[in-house]
Amino acid sequence: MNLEYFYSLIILGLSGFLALAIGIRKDSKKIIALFTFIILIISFILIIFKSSGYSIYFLDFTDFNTYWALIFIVSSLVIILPSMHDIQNKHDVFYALILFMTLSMVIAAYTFNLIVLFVSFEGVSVITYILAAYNRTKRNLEGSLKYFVISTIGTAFTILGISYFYFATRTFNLLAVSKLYSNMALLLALVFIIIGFGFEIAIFPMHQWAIDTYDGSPNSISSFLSTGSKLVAYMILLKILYLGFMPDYNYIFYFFAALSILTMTYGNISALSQNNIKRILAYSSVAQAGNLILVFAIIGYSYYNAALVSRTTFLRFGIAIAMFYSLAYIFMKAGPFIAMSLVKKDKVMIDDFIGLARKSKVTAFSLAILLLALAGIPVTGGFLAKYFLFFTLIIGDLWWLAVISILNSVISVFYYFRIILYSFWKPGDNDFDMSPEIKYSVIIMALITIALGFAFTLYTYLIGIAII
Amino acid sequence: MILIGFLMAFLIVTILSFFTGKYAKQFSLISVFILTVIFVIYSFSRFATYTGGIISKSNILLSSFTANGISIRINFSTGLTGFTDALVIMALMVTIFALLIGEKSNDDTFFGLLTSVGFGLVGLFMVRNFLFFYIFWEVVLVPMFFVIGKYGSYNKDKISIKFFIYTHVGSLFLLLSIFTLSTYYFIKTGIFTFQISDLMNLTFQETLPKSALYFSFFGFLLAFLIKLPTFPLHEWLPNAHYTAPYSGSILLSGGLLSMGGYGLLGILYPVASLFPLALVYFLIALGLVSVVYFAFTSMFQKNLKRMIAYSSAGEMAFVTIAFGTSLLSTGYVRTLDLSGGMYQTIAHAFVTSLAFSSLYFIYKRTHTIQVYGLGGLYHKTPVASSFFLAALLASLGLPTLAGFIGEFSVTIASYQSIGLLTLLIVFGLIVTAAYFIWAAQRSLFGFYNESLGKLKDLDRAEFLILFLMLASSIFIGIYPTLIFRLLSLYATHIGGLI
Repeated sequence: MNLEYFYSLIILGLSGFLALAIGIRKDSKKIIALFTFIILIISFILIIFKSSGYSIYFLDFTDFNTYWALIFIVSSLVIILPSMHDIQNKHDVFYALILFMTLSMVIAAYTFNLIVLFVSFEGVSVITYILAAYNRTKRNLEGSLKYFVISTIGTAFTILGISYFYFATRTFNLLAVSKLYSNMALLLALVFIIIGFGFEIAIFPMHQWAIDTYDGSPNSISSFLSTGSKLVAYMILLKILYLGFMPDYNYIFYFFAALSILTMTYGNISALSQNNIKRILAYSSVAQAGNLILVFAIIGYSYYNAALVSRTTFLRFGIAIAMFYSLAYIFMKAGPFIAMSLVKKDKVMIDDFIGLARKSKVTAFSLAILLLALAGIPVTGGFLAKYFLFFTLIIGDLWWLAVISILNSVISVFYYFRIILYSFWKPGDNDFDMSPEIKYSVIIMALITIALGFAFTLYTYLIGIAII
Repeated sequence: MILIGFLMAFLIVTILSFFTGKYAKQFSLISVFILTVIFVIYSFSRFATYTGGIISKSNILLSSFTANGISIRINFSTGLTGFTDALVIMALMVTIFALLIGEKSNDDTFFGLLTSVGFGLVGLFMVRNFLFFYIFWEVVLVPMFFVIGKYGSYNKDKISIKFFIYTHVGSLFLLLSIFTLSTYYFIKTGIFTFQISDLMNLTFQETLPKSALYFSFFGFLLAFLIKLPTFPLHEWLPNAHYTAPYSGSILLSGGLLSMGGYGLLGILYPVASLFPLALVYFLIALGLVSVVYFAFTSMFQKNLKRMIAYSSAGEMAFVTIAFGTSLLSTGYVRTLDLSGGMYQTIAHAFVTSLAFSSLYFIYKRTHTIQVYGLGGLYHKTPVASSFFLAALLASLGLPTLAGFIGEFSVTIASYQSIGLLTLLIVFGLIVTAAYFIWAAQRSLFGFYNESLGKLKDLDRAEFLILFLMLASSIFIGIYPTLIFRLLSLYATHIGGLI
């Protein structure tokens, strides 16, 4: 057994307990946060330098998996700094939970086994139930209870789907799927798996909990719920659909083309009439999920071989864009959620951002950049992600899907720009909480988003590692 | 390489100008002026021996990937043609004008935003790669949105968002067209690239299936005609002009409208011979309708700023006409037609800058720009009124002023292909002349409107600003060869552009 591949996993697990131990000391908030931060950085570095070409038991250390592991560590990293501001009690438990959750996510990233994927996914879910209820105000208890109930129903569907999947393919190992034993069972498995993970990704008919939970939870937790835990479900679905359904993609395209259109349109149109910014961001996160699952439609479409280019080229582009979009998505989505902490209120309405630019120009510009990225305007990571997403749709000869998606992104400009408009030039004044934790997180995320806007090399690299 | 260095320097200036505090105006003005001088010297040295085509090309390979039958190249490449050289100088000049007009009381963000619009324009005219073309195309919009929305006047929230979304729709269809071309280029050669010279290539586009070709034309035309703007797609323009501060208006008409002209004549023209004949006639019809329609709409405006906005859209309609009619003609006439259209793009920026700035100085004194609110201004402020009158005369195409050359060339050249329909252009010009003279008579001459109180004429700084604009307008009006030579050389060789 080649132990050096496991260093990062071991460090993450052990340091979770260590964080609990440090917590015995009083006033250890900053120490634990710093400790967690350093541990995450260390595991990030270890994973980067020990990447590919090894597989043992159910773990496969390929480039593809490594990339996802890195994404998940980043999604935990971005909430460490703002959570120092948001979380008022039990810091030791909080940061220990973050570390355990990261461990679960990294394991999920490294495996192709359905059972392990499911267990590690549950690990993430259970921890997020606790996180969503943190601070125990009435609002977030309601949200977290909703999340818990809905997510448990989703879990039941997932298990059912996985068992049907076994019935259809006689294996839990996604890499070993080769022959199909029952077409009907595979279709049922597809439906149940979509419902199960669809709850976590917040796809259209399964999204309603997300709005309340994102609205009610502490800001750094909402930002994690809408990035990290959503991307875990997304990655698992990507692996299952791409590998598990390799023998028969037949229905995937229809399901996901319809679902993504509904999700995008519903999310965007609902966001238009909201005045509560966290709800706007929650709906925009639903709309972005519609963009993300377009990749599944691309995967499904490759089955028909109708693309303008060869099937593998098309698949490579599609999966690479899933990977790139996820990375850009973390920063551009977590950033605005974290920026909500600038307002000294629980319920953040759009008027509360009036006067932000007069208070701090740099913060207002950073928030504007993040929102521009969500709307897909150039020199941001969000633009490059959408650019290559549309490009992939076009090389697949899916004009109509590209046009629908483009019209949706035009609608989304309305509500993103409304926030910019309020924060820059509505007359009036508000009191803002300019804590350095929040301010600098937003600025750093805006800078990274801009840097991702020039990350052409990353995308071309991802095309190389996209096919497992 | 010099161009890339130039863009870098401009980028640094742009970023710095956001953080200059009290000295924002001086800083951005002086640095943009220095950049302009450098560029003018550079282009004089390079274009003295210009014979057509693209010169001073440079190319940086940012990222490439080749494996598994896929090859991707992402380049940052720049180059200049006779047309874009003139456009870059125009964009720099217009930026200077806008900065000059800017109120000193505005904060540094305002001047930073104006400079970034200028930067976006210069970048757009220089790049020869569609990825960056699109980036600059959109980058111009964002600061413009801020200028209108933050520093605008009436109903600015709604109008700024409407402005952005209207033009954003066009841009996104432009994006789809670029992707279509790139995809088919990959199918043909096995390389994904966004180079303009590869994609906008006649021999390549001839091999495209008709559906893809027409789809790409649709996207390009939609984006360019919205920017221009042509008749049914102009809805964003008058409101945006009306709300924008005067500096913003100068950049809107001088900068954003010429982006449409550049798109049509600089980007799309090399492959436009593949247009179906019906589309060509449709475009000419759009142009003719625009000339007449904008002439009549601006006639009915009671607000001088809206009037100038509509008439500037009417002037840009000559570009559409030139684009369409030159496709029907050959040889010398085609060159004349095309160069006339390009010249109109450039002259229009100078003329409208003069019009908006002189109107601004009048507004600063009278606090109204309603035709009926003014009256007899000439008695109190003869200098300012004369400048405004000169701007109106330049807009209607008086010889010796900038507007004449383009309109004249387009009109006589298009007679060869559309015959008596040119009477419509002439009719539009007559209507324009009529309402300009009417407006001048109502606002500048006649009895003085006593409710305006005591007015002071221009001070020395304001006089110099307007004089500079008028001088540049007259200069390219009586010595057009300076630019016209480059344009016609470019237009002669436009088919064989690589």
